[in-house]
Amino acid sequence: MTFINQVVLILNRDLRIEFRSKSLLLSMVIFALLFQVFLQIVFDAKTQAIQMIAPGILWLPVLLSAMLGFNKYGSAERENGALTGLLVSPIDKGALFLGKLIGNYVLVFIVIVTSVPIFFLFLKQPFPASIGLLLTTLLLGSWGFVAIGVFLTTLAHSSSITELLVPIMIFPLAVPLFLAIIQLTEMALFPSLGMGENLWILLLIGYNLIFTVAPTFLFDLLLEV
Amino acid sequence: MMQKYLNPTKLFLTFATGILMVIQLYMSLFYAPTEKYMGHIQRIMYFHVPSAFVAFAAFTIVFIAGIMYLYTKNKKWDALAVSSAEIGVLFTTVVLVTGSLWARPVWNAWWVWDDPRLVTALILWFIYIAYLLIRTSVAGDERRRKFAAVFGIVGFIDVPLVYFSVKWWRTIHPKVIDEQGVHMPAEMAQTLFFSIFAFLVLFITLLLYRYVLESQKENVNELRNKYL
Repeated sequence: MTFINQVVLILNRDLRIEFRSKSLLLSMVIFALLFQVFLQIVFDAKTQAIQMIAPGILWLPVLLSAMLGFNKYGSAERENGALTGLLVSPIDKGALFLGKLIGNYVLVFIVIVTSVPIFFLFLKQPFPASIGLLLTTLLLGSWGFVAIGVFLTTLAHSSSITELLVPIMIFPLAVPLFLAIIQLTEMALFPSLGMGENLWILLLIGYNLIFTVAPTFLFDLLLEV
Repeated sequence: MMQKYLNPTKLFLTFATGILMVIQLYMSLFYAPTEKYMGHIQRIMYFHVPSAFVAFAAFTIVFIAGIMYLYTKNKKWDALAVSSAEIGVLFTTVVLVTGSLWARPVWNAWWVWDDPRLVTALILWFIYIAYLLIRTSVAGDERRRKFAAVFGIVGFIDVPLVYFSVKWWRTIHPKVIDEQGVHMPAEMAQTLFFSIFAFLVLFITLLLYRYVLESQKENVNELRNKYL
């Protein structure tokens, strides 16, 4: 079985489990929408002031919803020794990581697809200046966040404070990612500010590469943790 | 065996550190001239910059010791990493506090977001606080060591990314605060370099003591598991 086949196999298996119950996906989507509404209320968003905080309001529900999902995704593995079964199966550990990463990404992508249109609907926001840049940012940015999230959650599963430790680890490490996606989103939403976007996209791609490739090779080691 | 030389080295280093720190205090408080515009507040630099050097040296050691631990699985490297990380967090705290004290009268603000070095120091502090949290919250020795080593490596690799992204973030915006010039009288430069040297010796001394403590803790644990 080739590496790609193994990735697809893990992905299929995880998504089938996830889509059968749908409870995680549904709660992630609902949480993102609710948080979107919540942010609009707490910031009392007026159209004039929106330029300052719009990228944050767009991203926060997605990021937090993804964060809450990391711990629960694959929680079925902890029951009935499923994880042991998975580990003794002749699957490359790197393929296991990529499969989990893509599965998580699919869920986050569905959150984005529902949450971002709602953002535009609530905000009475003019149509984004560059929809291509916005899409690129959403796809690349959420990939990087999910990659580092799956990586660190796997590391932290043995901790006694996993739920708290994961955000404490992710937020400082993801600062470059946050800066890049907020800058790019601002450029995508408002026409006048566009400059230096290639630099940020390069940073995003570099960040994604580091946190996708390194764990793929290190996952063997991490699973022993 | 290294054990034989440990105690004399410890004594010598403690003595040397004591003398160096007294000279450092004298130089930074009396020998170095008072700065024309900032006045005495500028003397904070002789504590701030050396602390930053120590913090960076400490985190570099965490990184190297992490790699060595994963490579050799020798517990000594892990003891070195945790000792170094604790000292690094301590000195990063000193850097942040002294920086704020200096910035309040000079920049008229406790904190600014425009300097990549400030933001990087703060993020660094959070990363290694997370590192220490990992050390206290993970059960199982082998597990904790591996987890900490991986996080120590990833955290260190992330630092330049943070630095450059903050730099780009702020160069797109107008720059409010400029760096102060590097020109300084010879006495100031001498004091600064001596302070850096003294602080690095202080760091090595602290590291040695902390490392010995960590190894002894390990030995006690092993003996306890063996006989109790």
